[in-house]
Formats: sequence, structure tokens, C-alpha cells
Amino acid sequence: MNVLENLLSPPNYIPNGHCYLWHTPLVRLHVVSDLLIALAYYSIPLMLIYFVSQRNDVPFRRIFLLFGAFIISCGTIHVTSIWTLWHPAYWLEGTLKAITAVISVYTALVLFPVIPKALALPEPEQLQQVNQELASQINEREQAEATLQQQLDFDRLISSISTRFINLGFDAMDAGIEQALEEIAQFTQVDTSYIMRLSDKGDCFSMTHEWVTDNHPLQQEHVQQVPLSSFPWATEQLQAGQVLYVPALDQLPPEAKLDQQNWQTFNLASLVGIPLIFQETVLGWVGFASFDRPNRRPKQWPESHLQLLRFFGEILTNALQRQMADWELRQLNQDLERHVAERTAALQKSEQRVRSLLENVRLVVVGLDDTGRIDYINPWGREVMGYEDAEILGRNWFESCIPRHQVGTVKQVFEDELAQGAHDRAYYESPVLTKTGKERLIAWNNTVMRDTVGEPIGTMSIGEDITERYAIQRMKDEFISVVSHELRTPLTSIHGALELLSAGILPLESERGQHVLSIAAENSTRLVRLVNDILELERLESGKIKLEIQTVLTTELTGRAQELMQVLAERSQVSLKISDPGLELQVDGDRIIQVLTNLLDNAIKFSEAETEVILSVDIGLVSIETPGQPRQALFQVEDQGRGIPEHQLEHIFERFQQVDASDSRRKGGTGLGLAICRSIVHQHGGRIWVESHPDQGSCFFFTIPLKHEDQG
Amino acid sequence: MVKRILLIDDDDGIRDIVKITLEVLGGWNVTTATSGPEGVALATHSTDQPDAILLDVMMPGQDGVETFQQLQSQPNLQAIPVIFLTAKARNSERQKLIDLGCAGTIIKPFEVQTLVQEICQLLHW
Repeated sequence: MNVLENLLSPPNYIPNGHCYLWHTPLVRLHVVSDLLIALAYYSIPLMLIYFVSQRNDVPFRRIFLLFGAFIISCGTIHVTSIWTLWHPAYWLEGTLKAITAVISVYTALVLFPVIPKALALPEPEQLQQVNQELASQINEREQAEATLQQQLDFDRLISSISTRFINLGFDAMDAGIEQALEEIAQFTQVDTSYIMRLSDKGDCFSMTHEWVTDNHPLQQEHVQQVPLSSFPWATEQLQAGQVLYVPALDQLPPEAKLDQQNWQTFNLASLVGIPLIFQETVLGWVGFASFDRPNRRPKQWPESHLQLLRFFGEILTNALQRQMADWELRQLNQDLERHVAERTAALQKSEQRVRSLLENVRLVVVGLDDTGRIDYINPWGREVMGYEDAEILGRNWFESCIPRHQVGTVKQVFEDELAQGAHDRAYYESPVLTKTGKERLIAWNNTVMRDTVGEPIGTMSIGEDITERYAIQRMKDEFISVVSHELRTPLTSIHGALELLSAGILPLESERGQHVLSIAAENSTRLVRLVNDILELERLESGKIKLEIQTVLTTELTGRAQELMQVLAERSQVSLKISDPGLELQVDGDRIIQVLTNLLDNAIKFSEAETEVILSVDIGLVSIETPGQPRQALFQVEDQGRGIPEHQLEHIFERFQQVDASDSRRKGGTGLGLAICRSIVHQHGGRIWVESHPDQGSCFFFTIPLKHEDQG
Repeated sequence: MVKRILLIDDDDGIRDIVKITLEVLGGWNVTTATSGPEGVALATHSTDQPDAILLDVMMPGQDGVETFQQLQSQPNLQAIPVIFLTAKARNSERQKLIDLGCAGTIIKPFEVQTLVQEICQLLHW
């Protein structure tokens, strides 16, 4: 404490107020002055420090700080001066002055070399000029930056359009092109953008895509098939592959007068046209134009923008070509699809036709794979074979459907066809085995089926069931054979007999001569009868003989038949009896008499003497099977002859089916009598049959429908 | 040596005409039968076997073919040449008969004046 007290107020000195004699005004003057100076000295450095801290660009900052320290120390001396008026702290004051002296001397020393530098600082006017130049440079730089930025943005826009176009599909192409036209037009601040396409002939152009700024009408529908001759100057440049650049329509050269006039009709003020070139051929152009407005300045296009527009033109050309290619591809696809559809429809129709044919044709159609398994059989084939579809498919044809005795042969044909291949078609007849084990004869026509590379994969066989036809043919052959025999036999006798006589081998008058003459006569009669019967049967069966239907009583018929046969019966010593209630019929009387005499003739001829032949007529019972049928007149011819073997009953009414032909011939039969009877009865709507037992006699029946009034 | 002929035919007229022809023109001895069984029986039981048999094809009951087969089945008869008399004129039908092993066929109606010659030719007489 004492040290501080000795420092601030030492007792051994006289306060400075004494020097002023404590004269109050004087003391007050000093105090106030020192105080104000001190305040000022403290304020100034603060402002200097603040200034320096706020301006980083102030030169000589150290000098400023030294000035601050110097002034503060000076201010502090003035404060101590006030203090020493009352307290004699002269050591303290002296110390402060010494510090101030050090600071000031140092400041002076530091300031000295700075002066030339300070003097070298520019003057305010110079600085102002420099500032202006600087501002100008900054402005230019900013403009260049803006231009560069715009160029960059344009570059980016074109790049993004380009990228977008790569993935643009056919359907999105038009919208994509129009979007690109809009984006570029808005970016480049023009009023409209469009694409013109040259016609295939190259003599006119049409607008295909268009964008216009707000409130302006679209022109696309008006710009169609415009002759190139309307724009000769522009056409020349574009055809040469050059960019058409018109900054101002009113500044065009004289040779562009026609172009100018036509552009003016669209109210254009400036335009740029980029040719669309593909493989050195101009396809059209893309245009960017501004409409005419008051105070419009010419539209200048930087070369860099024109370059980018050229690039856009190339992108567009590629896109349009791709669109065209896509379109052509689509057309091709559509054509192809149409062709495919047509072919498919034709195939379906054909397939339907074939299927319908296969399903309905009355031919057996069988498809076999190369191992002989059945992979197809048509409905008629199944019917003939007696199988259901499912049960026969997949079976082996040779094991299931061919009679054992034919398997080897048929399999060989199949294997030969598959192996040789040369004989794609083969015709042969072979039997098949039905499900029930019966054989049916089929006439086959085989086709080898092949895969896409021509390798045999099986067969398709079409067959006609000729079982019945074959049987009929055989019957026909047999019949012809029989007819031939029946005709040749009497002819042989006639021919031989006459030849023996005419050649004089046998004298006519001789016994043998007379005998062979009688043989010739008998056989001539037989032959005439045979020929007549054959012709009559043919005419009856072919319907050439018309029945002369009349109403007759059965008694008339049976009576007439009895008259005709009575002589024969008497000669044969056979008793002919008639039982007839007298029914009214509508028949051809002569024909029914023919039937009756034929049956009676047979009955008498094959009856022993002293036996009876009975002809009776009755009303036949209504058949249980056919209750709706009219009632019948039932004729019966019964004899007591040798009868007919059971196995021949079924065939007795067929031609040349006599029980004993030679015996029959001897009795004047032709073998056709019963066939004729059957035909006549059938034509009257009746039925004929026989019941017989050997050695017990036979009974022939036939029915004729009764007249309506006799039905009761 | 007089040739002996057995004629089997169911037709009376033909039988008589052929018998007369062969007897008159050939001077042969002709025996007749009206059916196959009768003919076989005659051939079998006859003391003098025929030198040739003329056989009708179409006969009721046992026809010519069956009769031929019966004749062939008997060792003592199988050497006798058989000529079929047939009204079947087709080549195929004739061929079937020849295939059976007969000596030949004669088609009805035949020429009586050349019948003997025709038979001799077939039998190499």
C-alpha cells in the first residue's frame, strides 16, 4: 500500500496547484483544458482503430496503430497533469512522459521511411478514373460471362434435346419435335419455329411441325404444297446446304425480292433456316422466325448459336429419318401383320375346310407316326373300326387294326414308304380288323408326312371301305357268270345239235337225228323263256313296267290261275284246290296271276302224284311290329312236295338260286321265276316268303295290302 | 384201242350232244354221269378206267371243281386227265381251272366238228 501511495501521492513533493497558488480560476482552467484534451486524445485512437478495422484496404495500418498508441499516451499525460494539481505524483507523470517519448520517437522513426510511400499513393481523381475503368472492365466481363452462360445454357438445351431424341419412340416423335421447337424458340426469343419438308419430287414443301408464341395463329394448314419457286433466293441457299440467315427482312438483297414479298405475307421480320440434309440430299429445313412489330430491331444470331442450330438440324434430320424408317417399318409390320392375318385366315379357312372334310367325309383317314402308332383317325374311320376316339389313339396300328395274316405285308408297305421316300403315294387294298374282330376291306391311298427338313415323320392314309362294294362286285361277277352259264348251256345244246344235223354228221331222219333235233327245240324254248325272264326281271326291277292297277276280286285272280294250271296239275296227277273268300284288291291283275301261276307251277312240278296243292286267300293279321300298317290279303300256295333245305330258304327268291338247277331246268325252270314273283309283290307293297321242311312240303306266302273299305 | 371217255354233266341236252359227237366223230366209247358223285363212283368202280374225263364245272350240289378234287384225291384216279367243260369264258376263270391241274378247258358252246380234234390236242393223242 505504501508503494502505491508513494507512487500516486508522494509526501515529499508539493502538488502542482501550489504553483498556481491554488488560484481557483487558474486551477479550473488547467483542469478543464487537460480533461478535454484527454477526452479528445482517447476518442481519436478509438476512431482510428474502428476505421482501420473496417477498411482492410487502408495502407500503413501499423502507422495508424502507432498514432493511436501515441495519442492515448499523450491523453494519459494530460490526465496525470490534472492529478498532479493536487497530488505530486511527478514520478508517475515522468514515467508516462518517458513512455510517450519512446512511442513518439518510435513512431517518428517508423513514419520517416513511410513518407515516400505515402507520397506515392494515387490521387483521388486518378483513383476515380481507375475505378471507372475497373467498372467498365467488370461490366464487359459480366457481359462476356452472361454470353458464355447463355451459350452454355443453349449448349445444354441442345444436348438435352439431343439426349431426349435418342430415346424418343415413334408415337412420341412429333410431340418431341414440337417441344424442341418450342424450347429453342423460347430460348432464342423468336416468335415461331417450324419444320418444312420437301415433297418427294422436290418441287414444293409443306409445313410438318410448328410452334408459335402466344396469341398468334398457327400456319401449318396454310403452308402445304407450296412451290419452291415462291422462294427462289432462299431455295438456292438451302439447296446448297447453307444456313438461311435473314436478320432483317427489309435488308435483303434485290434478288430476294420475291422471297421477301412472300415472307411478308406471313408478317415475318427476321428468320433463320437450317437445312435438313441426309446423305447429301436436302429433305427440308427447320426455321426460327420473328414477327414484324413496331420498333423491332434486327435479330442477330451469334455464330455459336447458328452452329448449335446446325447441330440441332442434324439431330432433327436423324430423328425425322428414324421416324420415317420407323414409319416404313411400321408399314412393313402392318403389311406383314396383314399378310400374316390373311394367311392365317386363309390357313384357318383351309384348315377348317380340311377338318370339315376329314370330319364328314365317308372315307377312313388314319395318321400314323413313324413307329406306326395312331395319332389321328377321323370320325368315319372310328365308325368303320368301331372305336371311340380316345381308346384307339396311341395304339399301334399294325398290332390293333390289321388282321394277323396281313400284318407282315402291310407293315412292309409302311416301312418301304418311310424308308424309300421316293414313292410318296401308294394304292393298295388291304383288310382292317374292327373292334369286334370283323374284317373290312379298305382301298388305301398313302401319303408320307414329312417334317420341315423333309424327313419322313409318318403317314396319312385315306381309305375307302369297299367291303360292300367288293361283295356286290363279287355277286355281280357271280351273277354274270351264272347268266353266262344259264345262256350258254341251252345254246351249247342247240348249237351242237344243229351242227350235227347241218353238217350231215347225223341224218335228220335217223333216230339220233330226231333226238338231237328235239334237244335243239327244247333248248330253244328254254333259251327264249330265259331271255324273256331276264328281260322281264330287269324291266320290273328298273321300274320300266308300269303296273296297271285295277280293282279286282281275289276270286277272279285265283280262278284264272286255276284255269291256267289245271292242265299241268291233271297231267301231274296233282289235286289243285282253291280257298278264296273273295277280297277286293287294287292290283295289276295280270301280274298277280303271273305270281300265282309261277308259285302253282313250282308247287305242281315238285309234287308227287296223288298229292294236293292248295291255293288259299285270307285276311292277313296285322303285324305286331308295324301296327299302323293296313291289313293285308294273304295268299298261300302249299304243296306236299320234297321241301326246301333250311339253308336255302333265305336265298330262294334270288336269281338262279334254284334248289336243284338241273332238276329245275328239266322241269322248264329258268331260275328267275321266284325273283320275278318277289319283284311283282314288292311293287304292290306286299311281302313274299316261304316256310318249308324237307320232305314235308313247302308253303309260299305273299301279302297284298287290302283296299281301304276292306280294312275293317 | 378205242378211247374211253367219261362225261359228267348235269344238262341232258349237252350230255347227249357230246356223247353222240364223240362216238360218231371220234369212234370213242362214252360213258355219262349226271352229277359229280355219280361220275366219281363210275370212275372208281368201273373195271375199265376211262382214258379221259370231260367234266362240267357248274353243277348243282357238288360242282365240277369239287369233283375234280375228289378224283385227284384218289391215287388210282389222279392219273386220268380231266378236261373241264365250262360256260365260264373269262380268262381268269379258265386260268383258275388250269391252276387246279386239269388237262385243259373247253368253252361252251363248242364246235362239234372240231371237238374230237380239240380233245386230242389237249390230251396229246
